[in-house]
Amino acid sequence: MAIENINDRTASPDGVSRIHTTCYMCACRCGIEVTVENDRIRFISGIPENPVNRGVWCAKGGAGIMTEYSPARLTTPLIRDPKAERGSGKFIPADWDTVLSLVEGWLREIRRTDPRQLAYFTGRDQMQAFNGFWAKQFGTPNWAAHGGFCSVNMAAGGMYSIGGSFWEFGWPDLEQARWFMMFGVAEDHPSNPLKLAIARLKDRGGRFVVVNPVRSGYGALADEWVPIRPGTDGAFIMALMHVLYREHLYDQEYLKRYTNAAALIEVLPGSSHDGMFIKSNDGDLLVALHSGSIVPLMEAAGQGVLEGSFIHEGKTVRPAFGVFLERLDSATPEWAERITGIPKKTIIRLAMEMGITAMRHPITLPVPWRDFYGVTHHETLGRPVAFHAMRGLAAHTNGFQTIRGLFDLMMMLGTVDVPGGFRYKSPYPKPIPPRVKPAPNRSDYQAGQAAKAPLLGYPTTPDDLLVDGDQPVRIDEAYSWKYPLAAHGVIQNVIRNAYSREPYGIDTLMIYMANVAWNSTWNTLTTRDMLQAKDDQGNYRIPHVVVIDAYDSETVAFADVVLPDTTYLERWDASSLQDRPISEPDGPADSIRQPVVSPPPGVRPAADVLIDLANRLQLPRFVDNGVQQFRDYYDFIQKWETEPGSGTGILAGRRGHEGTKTLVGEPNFQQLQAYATNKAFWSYELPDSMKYYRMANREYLSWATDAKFLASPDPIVLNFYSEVLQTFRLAGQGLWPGKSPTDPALRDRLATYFDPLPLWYPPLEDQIEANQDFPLTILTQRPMTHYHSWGSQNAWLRQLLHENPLFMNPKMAESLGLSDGQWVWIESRLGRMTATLRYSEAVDPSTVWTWNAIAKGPGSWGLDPSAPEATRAVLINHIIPDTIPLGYEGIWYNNDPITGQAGWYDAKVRVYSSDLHEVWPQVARRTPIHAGAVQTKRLAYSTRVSNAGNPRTGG
Amino acid sequence: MQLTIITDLNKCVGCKSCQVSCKEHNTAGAFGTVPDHDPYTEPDGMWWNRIVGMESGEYPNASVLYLPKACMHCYDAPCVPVCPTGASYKREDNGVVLVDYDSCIGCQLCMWACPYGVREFDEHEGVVKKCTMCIDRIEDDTLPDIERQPACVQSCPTHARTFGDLEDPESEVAKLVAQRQGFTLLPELGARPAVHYLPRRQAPVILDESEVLRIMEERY
Amino acid sequence: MRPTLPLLLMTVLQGLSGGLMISFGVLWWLVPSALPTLDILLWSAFLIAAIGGVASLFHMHKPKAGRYILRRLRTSWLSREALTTGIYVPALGVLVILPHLVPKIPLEYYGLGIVFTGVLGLVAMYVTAMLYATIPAMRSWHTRLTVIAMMLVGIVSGMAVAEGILAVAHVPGAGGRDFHIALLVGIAVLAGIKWMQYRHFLEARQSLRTATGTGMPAAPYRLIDSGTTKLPYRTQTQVGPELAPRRRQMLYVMMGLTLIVVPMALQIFPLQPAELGIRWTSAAIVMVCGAFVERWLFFADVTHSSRVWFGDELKRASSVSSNRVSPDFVRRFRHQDGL
Ligand SMILES: Nc1nc2c(c(=O)[nH]1)N[C@H]1C(S)=C(S)[C@@H](COP(=O)(O)OP(=O)(O)OC[C@H]3O[C@@H](n4cnc5c(=O)[nH]c(N)nc54)[C@H](O)[C@@H]3O)O[C@H]1N2
Ligand SMILES: Nc1nc2c(c(=O)[nH]1)N[C@H]1C(S)=C(S)[C@@H](COP(=O)(O)OP(=O)(O)OC[C@H]3O[C@@H](n4cnc5c(=O)[nH]c(N)nc54)[C@H](O)[C@@H]3O)O[C@H]1N2
Ligand code: SF4
Ligand code: SF4
Ligand code: SF4
Ligand code: SF4
Ligand code: SF4
Ligand SMILES: [Mo]
Repeated sequence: MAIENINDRTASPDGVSRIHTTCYMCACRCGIEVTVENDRIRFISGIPENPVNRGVWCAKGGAGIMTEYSPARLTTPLIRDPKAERGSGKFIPADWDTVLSLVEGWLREIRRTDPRQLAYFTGRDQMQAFNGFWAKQFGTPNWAAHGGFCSVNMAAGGMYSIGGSFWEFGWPDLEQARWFMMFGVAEDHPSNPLKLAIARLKDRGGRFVVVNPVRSGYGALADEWVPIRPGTDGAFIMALMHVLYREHLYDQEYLKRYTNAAALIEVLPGSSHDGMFIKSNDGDLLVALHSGSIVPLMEAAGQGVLEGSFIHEGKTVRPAFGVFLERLDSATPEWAERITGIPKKTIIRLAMEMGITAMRHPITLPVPWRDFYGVTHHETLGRPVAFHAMRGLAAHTNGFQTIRGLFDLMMMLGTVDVPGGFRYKSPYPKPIPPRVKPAPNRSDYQAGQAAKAPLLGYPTTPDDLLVDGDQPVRIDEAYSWKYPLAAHGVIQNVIRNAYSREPYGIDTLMIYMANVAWNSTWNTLTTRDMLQAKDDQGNYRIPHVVVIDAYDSETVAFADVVLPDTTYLERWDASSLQDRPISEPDGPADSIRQPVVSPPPGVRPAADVLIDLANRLQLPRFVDNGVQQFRDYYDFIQKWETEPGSGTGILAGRRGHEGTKTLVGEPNFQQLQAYATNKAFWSYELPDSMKYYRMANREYLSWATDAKFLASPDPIVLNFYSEVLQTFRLAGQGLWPGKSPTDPALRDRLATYFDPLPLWYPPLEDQIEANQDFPLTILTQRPMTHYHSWGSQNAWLRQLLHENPLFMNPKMAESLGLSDGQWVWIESRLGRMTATLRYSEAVDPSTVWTWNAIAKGPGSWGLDPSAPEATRAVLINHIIPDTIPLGYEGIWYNNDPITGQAGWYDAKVRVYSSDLHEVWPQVARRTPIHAGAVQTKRLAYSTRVSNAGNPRTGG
Repeated sequence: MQLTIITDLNKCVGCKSCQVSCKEHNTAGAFGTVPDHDPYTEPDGMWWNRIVGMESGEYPNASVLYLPKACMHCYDAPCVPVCPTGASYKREDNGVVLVDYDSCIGCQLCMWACPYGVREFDEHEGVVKKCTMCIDRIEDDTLPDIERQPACVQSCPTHARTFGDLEDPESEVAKLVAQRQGFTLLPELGARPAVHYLPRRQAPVILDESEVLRIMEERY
Repeated sequence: MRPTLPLLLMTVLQGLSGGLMISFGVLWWLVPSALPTLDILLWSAFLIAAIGGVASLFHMHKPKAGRYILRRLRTSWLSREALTTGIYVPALGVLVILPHLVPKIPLEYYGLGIVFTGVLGLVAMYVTAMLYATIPAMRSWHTRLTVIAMMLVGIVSGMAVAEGILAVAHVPGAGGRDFHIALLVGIAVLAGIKWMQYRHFLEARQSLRTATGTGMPAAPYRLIDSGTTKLPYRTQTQVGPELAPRRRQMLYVMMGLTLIVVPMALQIFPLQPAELGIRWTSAAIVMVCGAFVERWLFFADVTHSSRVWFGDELKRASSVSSNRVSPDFVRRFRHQDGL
C-alpha cells in the first residue's frame, strides 16, 4: 500500500506529521505515535489512550528510530551466489519477479506431489492467523510459529487447566491485589503493562515476592527475593499447597463451585476407566454430596465434597481433590527444601502469607453477577493474591506439570478471574482445552488440496494425535507420541529432522522471522552444519532454504533465496483477536499498524509477497474460480473471514458496511482507514457484571458466544484434574481403546509424565548420569533493552549492552578457585566455550547466568566483524544440548515430554579457569551487506534541515 | 521556581526507557544532536541520562538498585561559576541549568566541576552538552499538554519519575520529597541538587514471625 | 583521567616560566652585575611561557568563543587564569624586548618591572593552581596541597633549569652557594609535599561514600551496569580510564626519581667545577621530565566524585555500618533466613 493513501496525516506546514501505529520492537504491541519531520522519524512515543501501554514506551520502543535506519536492512531480494556455498552469505541481488518465479516453481512442484515437502516456520510472528491460514491452504501440515522454543508450556499448561494463561491470555490484577508472587520472569511480553502494574502494586503498598534463582530487574523491587534452584518450582508449589491444605487456608467453596476438584474419578487401576471421570447420562461430571448421594456437578451447585471415597454403580469413586491429597501428603516443606534450597520455614511462611491474605482479607466489589448454576451473587468476591510466571517455569522439561501446579494452586486460593487475582483477557476463557484440533491423518494433507483443519490446536485424547502408528505426520513431530500436546508446534526439531530425513525429508524450508541459525537454536554449530550438509550426490540435504527477513541476521546467510521484508513502520498489519490481540482484562481490543515511512524501493511487505505467491499458486480461498480474492495484506485484513460470511475477521472493531458493528459484522473496506484515524486501535469495555468469574458467568458466556469467542455458552469448569492427560496415560499403559503407541519407550514416557494431577520430577537433564559432573545450571535472562537478536543492529540500544559476562555467586566462584573478571571455560556434556566471569551476590550459588542473544556472528546484523558482539559477547546456545540420551532408540530432543517445549534452562555445566582469553567457539566472518554504512564514524541523528536542505546525520 | 525530576527508587526497574527517550527527543531537539561514535563497530556515544545498576549485600540478602542519573539542576551548581565564558548558566526563572553552545569554548572545566559526571563533551562541535530538563518541550506552547514535560518522565513505564516545581509546596514533587524522605546524591559536596530520589520502602510481612515459628515447631 | 597534551604543556611550562622568572629576579638581586649574562634566563622564561600560552589555545575546542573568556572573572578561576597568564606573558615579553628598544632604561625602573613581572608570574601560577584546587568534585585536587605543590614544582624546576642554563652558558656559579642551597631545600620541601599529596590522592580514592552516592547503605556495592556496557571514557573523561595498579606504582616511582631523587643526587655531591655544567644541565633536564611525569599523574590519577557510579566500590564496608544487622532486628523486619 503506497504511503500516500494514508488520510490521517495531519501534516502541518512545517512538514511535521503524527501517525499512530503499533510498535513491533517487541511483541508487546504498544500503541505508538510516530512524529515524522522532513520525511524522517523525529520521535516515537506511547499513545496515552492505548489500553496496553497507556502512554508509556520502553527503551526499545523509542529506539525504533535507529532500527528503521539500521545498516542491517535488507534492501533487495537476494539469490545465493551459485558459486558460493550455503552459509557463506554471498548473494546476488535479484528483482522480485525472478525470485518469486523461482520460489513459485519449487512450491508448485511440492504442492503437486506432496505438500508436506514444504516446511514453513515462522518465528516472532504477529500474523499467525494469516500465516497459519496460508500454510493450511497450501496443504502442508508443517507450519508453526515459534512457541515450541518459546513458552508453549505456559500456554498449554494454562489452556489445559483454566482455558487461558498468562501474557495475552490473562493477567495478574495488580490494581487490586495485595500480595503478588512472580516466578521466573525477567522481562516478558507484557513489557510495559507489567511495569505499569508492578508500579501500581508498589504505590499501593502491596507485597511483592519474587521466586527466581537470579535477582535483577523486577526482582530488584521485590519486598522479598526467594532464590530457588532452577527447575524445582514444581516442588515448591506442591509444598505451598501442602501447607495451605494443612492450615485450612484454601478456598473450598471455589474449588467446589468452579473447578472439577470435587468431580468423582473412577479408581480402578488396570482398567480403561481408571482415572476417568464418571459422568451422568448427559455427560455431566458427578459429585458426591455430604449425604453420600451422587449428583451432577451442575445440580450440586457447589455442594460436592472434596474428600472421601464412594461407591457408585459398584465402582469405587473419589473426588479428584481427595486423590490429589495423597500426593500432597508427602510434598512437605521439608521435602521441598531439599529439592529447592528454599528453607522450610520460608515455605511455610509464604504459604501462610498467601493463604491468610486470600482467605482472611478478601475484597468485595459491589458488583452483582449470576453464575452458571443460576445463583445471583450480590457482590463480587475477590481474593487479592496474584501470580505471574513465565519462562522460569516454562523453559524446563518439567515445565508443563509445574505450570499445571501453579494453576491448581491458584484454584485452591480461589484467585482465577476474581478481583485481585488472575484475570482473563478476551477472547479467553476458552473451553478447556479450546476446541480446535489439527486434522490428525496423513491423508488429510493431500496433493493440490488445502488441509482439512487449522494446523495447530489442542488434542483432547490420543486419537487426536498426528501419528501414523508410531510415526509422526509432521516434520517437527508435533502431536506425536513424543510431544503429544505440542500446541505451538516444535520449531526447534525442524532442522535436525529435515537434515536426518526423520520422519521424512523435505524439499523447501521457509523461515519467516526466526533466527534459527543462531540464537533460537541450540547446539548451534552443529545446527549450522546441518543447514549446509550435503548428501552423497552432493546435493544439500535440505534442498531449498527460503528466508523472509527484514535484517541481515545470521540465518540470512544460510538462505538460497532471501525475501526482504519491510520494517514495522512501513507496512499494514494487525494485532487480531484471531491471533495475539491487545485485549486487557476489562474487555477485548485490537490494533493495527500502518506505514509511517516508505520502504526502500526493493522491499515488499512479507504478507503481500505471500499473497502474491498464493495467487500465483492459485491456493484455495486465495483464488476462487480463478478470481483473486485478496490484492494484498491490506485487502486481506479487511476482507478475510474465518469462514466466508461468518462476520468474524481479523479486526473486531468498526465492522459492517458503515463501520458501526462491533465484533461480528460484514467486512468493512474502510476499516483500516477508520482504525488509522482513531489512534490505530479499538477496544471495548465489558460491563462490570461481566468482568469477573467469566468461566462461570452466565451473562458473559452468552455475550461471548454472540461475539463468537465461544461456540456455545456452556459453563467452563476449571480443570483442577486433567482428564485429558489421563487419556494419554492410559494410552501409555496400553489401556486406551483408541490410538496407542507400540514402542515401549513411547509408552513409558506417556505413563510417566501424563499425570492428570500436577507433579514434580527432575528435569530430564538431571535424570541423565552424564550430568553428575556438571553441577551448575546455566540460564539466560532477557535484557530489557534488547529483543532477542534484533537489538544489536540498533546504534543506540547496542551501546547499552554489547558484551555479556557469566554471572556467578562469589562464594561458589571462590570455592572453584575462580576470581572476578577472569576468563573461564563453561563446559556442558555437549562441549565447551569461553566467557569472562563476573561475581554477583544476586544469584543462587547453584546457578550461573548471562544475557540472552547479545553475541552475534561476525559481520551479521550490520556490524563490523570486530564489533564487541562478535569478539567479546558469548552465546551459550553453543553448549545447550538439543538432544538427550534417554537410552532409547532414535532422536529424543531436550523437550518437555508433554508439550515439546525446549528445555533451555535445564543445561548443566561446570566452570573452570581458561588460558584462552578470547571468545571461543567462533564462526566464520562475513562482510556486512552495507559495509560502507557500517564504517560510519560519527552518527548525529537529527531531523532538522541543515542549510544544505538535507536532514542532518552528522559529519 | 525550581523545576526538578524526582525518581522513585522504589519503582525504578532499570529499564532504561528514560535513557533512550532522552536521546530520542534531544538528538533532534533544540539542544541536539546527541552523537554516537563508531555506532556499528566499537560504539561510544553521548547520553544525557544514564541508568547505573548496582548490587550490594550478600547472598541471599543481596539487593539490586537502579539509579537514573542526569543533571541535578543544582541550586549551587558548581558547573556554573567555573565556566569562564558564562556559557553555563542557571536560569533565574525556573532554576534549569543550561549551556549556551555559542559561547562555550569547550574547555570542559564544567565537566570536572560537576560532582555527578552528567556533562558530556561533543568533540565534533567542541561544546559540552547535558540534560536540559527538556526545556524545549516545557516552553513550547504549541505542544500538547502531555509533551510539556521531560521526555524521560513521559516515557517511564513505571511512572517512577515525576516532574514539577520543587519550590511550590503544592506540587506533586514537593509533596513526594516531603512525605517520602526524598534525598539527594552526594550532599556532602554542597552542590544542593534540585533532583531528588525517593528511597526504597519495604512492604512488611503480614504475619508475626513468632507465629510462623510456633506453627512450624508444632506441626512441621 | 586522560590528561590532554595542551593542559600538560600549559601547566608545566607556565610553572617553569614562572620559576625561571623568579630565579632571574633572585639571581639578579644576588649578583646585580650579572644582568647581561642573565638575560638568557629571561628569554627562556618568555619563550617557554609563550609556548605554554600557545598550547593553551589548543585546549579550547571552540576558539571562536574565546572572546567571551573573561566574562566570569568574578567567579571563574579559568577566566582569572586567562587574565593573569594573559598579562604575565606579554609583560614578560616587554621585559625581554625593552632593553633592546630603549637602550638606556634606568636600572631602578627596570628592576621595578622585574619585580612586577615576577609577582605576576607568581600570581599566574597561583591562579592556575587554584583552578584545580577549588573544584570539590575533584576529590584529589580539592586541597591546599594542590596549590603549594603546583607552585613549588614550577619554582623548583625553574630554579633547576636556571642553573642548568647558566651552566650551559658557562656562567657557572652565577647564583652562588645561596641559590644552590635554596634549590636543594626547595627539592627537599617538594619531596615532603609530594608525599603528602600522594597520601591525599590515595585517601581521595577511598573517600567516596556509597551511601550518599548511590542511596545504597549496604556497602560495598558492585557495579552491574554503568549506563553503557563499558565506562564512557570518551564522553566523560573525568572518570576514566583508571590507571592499572602496577602502572600507577611504576609512574609514582618514576616521578620520585625524576622529580626528586636524581636531581637531588646530581645537585648534591660536590665535584670538580668542570663537571658541574654537565651535571646541572642533566639535573635540569631530568627535573623538567619529572615535572611532566608529576603533572601527568596529577591528572591521570585524579579521583572525581562521579567515580562512585563507575566502578565497584574500592573498600570493604566498615564493620560498624555493614549489613550484618542485629539478629533481633532481622527477625522482626526481614523474616529471612541465613542472615
Ligand atoms: N526486552 C525483551 N523482552 C522480551 C524478549 C526479549 O528478548 N527482550 N523476549 C520475549 C519472549 S520471546 C519471551 S518468551 C518472553 C520471556 O520472558 P521471561 O520469561 O521474562 O524471559 P527470560 O528472560 O527467559 O526470564 C526467565 C526468568 O526465569 C528465571 N528462571 C530460570 N529458571 C528458573 C526456575 O527454574 N525457576 C524460577 N522461578 N525462575 C527461573 C531466570 O532467572 C529469568 O529471570 O519475553 C519477551 N519479552
Ligand atoms: N539460550 C537461550 N536461547 C533462547 C532463549 C533463551 O532464553 N535462552 N529464548 C528462546 C525464545 S523464548 C525465543 S521466542 C527464541 C527467539 O528467537 P527468534 O525467533 O529467532 O527471535 P529473533 O532473534 O528475534 O529473530 C527473529 C528474526 O526476525 C527478524 N525480523 C525482525 N523484524 C522483522 C520484520 O519486520 N520482518 C521480518 N520478516 N523479519 C523480521 C529478525 O531480523 C530476526 O532474524 O529464542 C529462544 N532462544
Ligand atoms: S514494550 Fe515492546 S511493543 Fe511496547 S514500546 Fe517497548 S518494544 Fe514497543
Ligand atoms: S524509565 Fe523509569 S523505570 Fe525505567 S530506568 Fe528510567 S526511571 Fe527507571
Ligand atoms: S548536576 Fe552537574 S551539570 Fe547539573 S547543575 Fe549540578 S553541577 Fe551542574
Ligand atoms: S566547556 Fe563550555 S560550558 Fe563548560 S566551562 Fe568551558 S566554556 Fe563553560
Ligand atoms: S529532562 Fe530531558 S534532557 Fe533531561 S534527562 Fe530527561 S529527557 Fe533527558
Ligand atoms: Mo519466546
